[in-house]
Amino acid sequence: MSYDQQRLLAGHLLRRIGFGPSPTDVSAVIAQGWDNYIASQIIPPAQMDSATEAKFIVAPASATDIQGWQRRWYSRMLYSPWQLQEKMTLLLHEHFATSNTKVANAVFMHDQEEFLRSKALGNFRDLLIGISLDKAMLVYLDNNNNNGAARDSQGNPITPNLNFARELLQLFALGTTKLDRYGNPLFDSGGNPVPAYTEADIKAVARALTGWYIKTTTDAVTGVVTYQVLFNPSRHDTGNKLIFGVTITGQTGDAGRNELPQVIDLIMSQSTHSRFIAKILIQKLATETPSPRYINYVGQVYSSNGFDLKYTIQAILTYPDFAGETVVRNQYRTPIEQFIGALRGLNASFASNSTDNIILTWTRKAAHQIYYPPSVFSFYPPGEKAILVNTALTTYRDQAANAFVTSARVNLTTLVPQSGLTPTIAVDYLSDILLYAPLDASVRSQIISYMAGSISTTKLRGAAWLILCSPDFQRN
Amino acid sequence: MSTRRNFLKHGIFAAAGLSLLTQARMVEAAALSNKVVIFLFLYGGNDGLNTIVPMDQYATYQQLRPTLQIPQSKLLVPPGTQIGFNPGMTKLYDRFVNKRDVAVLNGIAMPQDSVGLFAHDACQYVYQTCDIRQTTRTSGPEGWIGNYFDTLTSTPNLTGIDLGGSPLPLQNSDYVPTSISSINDFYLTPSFDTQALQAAYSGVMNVPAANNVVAEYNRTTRVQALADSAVVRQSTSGYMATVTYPSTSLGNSFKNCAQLLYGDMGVRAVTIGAGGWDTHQNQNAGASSTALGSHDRLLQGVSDCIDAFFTDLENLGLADNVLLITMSDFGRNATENADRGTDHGYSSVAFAVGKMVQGGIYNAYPSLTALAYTNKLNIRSDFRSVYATVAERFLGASSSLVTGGSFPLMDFL
Repeated sequence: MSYDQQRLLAGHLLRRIGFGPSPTDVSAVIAQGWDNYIASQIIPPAQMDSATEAKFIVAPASATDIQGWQRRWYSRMLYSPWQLQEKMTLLLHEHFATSNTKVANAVFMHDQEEFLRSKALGNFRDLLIGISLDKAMLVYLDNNNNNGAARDSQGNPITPNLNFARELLQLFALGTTKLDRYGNPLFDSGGNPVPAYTEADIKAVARALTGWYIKTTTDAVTGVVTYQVLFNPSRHDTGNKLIFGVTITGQTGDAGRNELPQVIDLIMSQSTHSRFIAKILIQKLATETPSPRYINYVGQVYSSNGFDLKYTIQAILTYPDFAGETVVRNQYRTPIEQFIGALRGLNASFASNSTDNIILTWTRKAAHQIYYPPSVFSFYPPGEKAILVNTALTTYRDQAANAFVTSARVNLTTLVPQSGLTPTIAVDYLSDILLYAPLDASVRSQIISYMAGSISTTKLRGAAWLILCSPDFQRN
Repeated sequence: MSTRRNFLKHGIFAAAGLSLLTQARMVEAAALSNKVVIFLFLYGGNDGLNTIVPMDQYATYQQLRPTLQIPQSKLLVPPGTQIGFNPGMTKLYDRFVNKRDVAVLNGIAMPQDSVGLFAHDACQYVYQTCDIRQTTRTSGPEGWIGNYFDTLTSTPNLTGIDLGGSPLPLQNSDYVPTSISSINDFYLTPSFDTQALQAAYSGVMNVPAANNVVAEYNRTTRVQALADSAVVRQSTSGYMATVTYPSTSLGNSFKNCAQLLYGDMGVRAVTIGAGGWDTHQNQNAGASSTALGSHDRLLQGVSDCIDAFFTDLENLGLADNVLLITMSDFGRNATENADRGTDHGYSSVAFAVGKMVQGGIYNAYPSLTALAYTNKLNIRSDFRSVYATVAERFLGASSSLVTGGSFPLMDFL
């Protein structure tokens, strides 16, 4: 069956830069044009206008209500017109995975979310420095109060906690192995991959980042608790640090705080950094198996623009590979992409004061819920997205689709124009707004015959459920 | 992908028009071996030094662990041995001493030329696949148990089940394991228009998705989930636990595991995972001269679950052919850090539990004075020696096919 290519590609763009099209989005992309749409998406407003803000679920009455913050964040994914900003906020949360299971502080988690959103299309240097001083991250990877001045009973230095330093190098900025400009691992003459850092580098980075801590203040009158991230020179290791063969001179007193930006700049100056970030961003937004040329190009855009994400992402989205047949509709959906995508497609409506738990329930079951990544690798390591498809997860996905089509938040008789409606028209209409691509002809005829000539609410729900479970819908 | 799987599913069975239950019984008869491996992975890197403490090196241990040392009075020292079980592991200690079905495997590590030493995901990958260079990571990983499955004449759907452990150890190029989060959640029964929708769903999933891997993999996985969930529900519905399992997610995994084995569906391996072992900071919070700390309680959870599981199987008459093996990302540094925690180390301790296990201690404890990588416990046995032993002496399979090499066998089996 032929399908309008402009429409198909607009659907593709909206699934990748965001959480899939709402009913009117595709025509908006086509009207604006691909390049113009991207150019506008990479520069979201600093402050949401009031009409957009009004679509979101309001902030919880108590700042410690983690579920309230989850509902609000999910509603942004559902309703923000700045879909790229929301997608990047989620991808950065996955990259800098931080779990409230350990942090156990909703304020810290929400503040981190706001920080990630504010830098979602900003500069990666700001992200690395900011995340190093982020309250939730300080707790999650143990750099809060990390003591660089500890001595044992003989007066010898005790190694500080290495957790954050290791993940900063391994997960956030470099990866385990040095990469060539095409994103391939480099090998030494003996055929061994060349490590991107040594154990000694990790220890030196950890020492340079000692002394930071979270100060908690409770107002004696109001009881309001506030937090500040401060630097305590007496817990900073003032010795010199040798990192990647470069000496960072140890600083005493308050000047010790300057070692953080020095370390970040040193890490970012490693040639592997831009290749590592380019590869991850392409894998998240475009394809698990990027071509070497794609990585090379995006890596160069990233480093030559001073690590600016908006131009890097623009480069990913406008590179020819992005609209090629190996990329379009050829990615596995994460559970959040699947759930939010289905609800956007079905035009689900949540009131601004909604306490509905439907999204919370299914993202929790599928172990892909914001603020709760299962490990430092988040939900899946980059490049291993097929892990998202197994019998446990496909079962949850299809059970969730059942819950969505029967939810009071979804009204199929309003969504599908009722005038002159037949099962064939209904199936074609629903598959079009859920897939923006043709539905397999045999699947289509089976769903039409399922409806058995009836267009009742039950049959519309059943048809929508079957489309959401169909192999075609699983193609992101 | 998975041609053999599709052949089995759509070829033999579909052609014969057999019921799911009959298929499962046929599978049972066809299986060469009725041995079952339970592979428990402790995600994060378990601190072997505070799991099994070397009593003959206790003074050195105290120096290395100024705040994290476990007092001698709390350690559980089997008579006539030089090891102390962590105080949380009373149940495993009791089995070690009385049932003699627990083997303590000291100094287990990956070889020093492995890629990605001390990195969580790399080490998990290596321990689950035996691919120490990680050359297959993007091209098509096969697990060490998947390698064993490759030696069987057939591997129908429920041969290997991932119960929250990871499918990776179980998979090979022909075999995709079944993942079950919880048996109670493993069903596909639409909440409305049920019969018509079930029929339509099966119909939709029987249409091969031509030319697209994402769609086709999603489809075959749903076909597998439909068939397996029906078999699992029918075969295991009569299960009643004979013991009280810990009310934790790990306890639920072990209870589900016993239920699956009760179902007699030809299950040959199950993976289970336990999290929380990445103890960089305040590792044993809450410990006192009498109270357990947080790491002790993690070990207590594992020990209680393993004991409940085997006691349940023993009561049900199902324990004879079930072997449990534990592994973890790595051990932790011998020295503690300035944060009352421990950072990523090298070798750790592993356990083997089961009626066929020759209970005892294997390998001399790694030296606490001759450390590797400055401050890490050194290796005594390549982890593949453990798998090779399981292959040769329990599964009756070629250890070289399972591990991809030749490794000295150990005597715990």
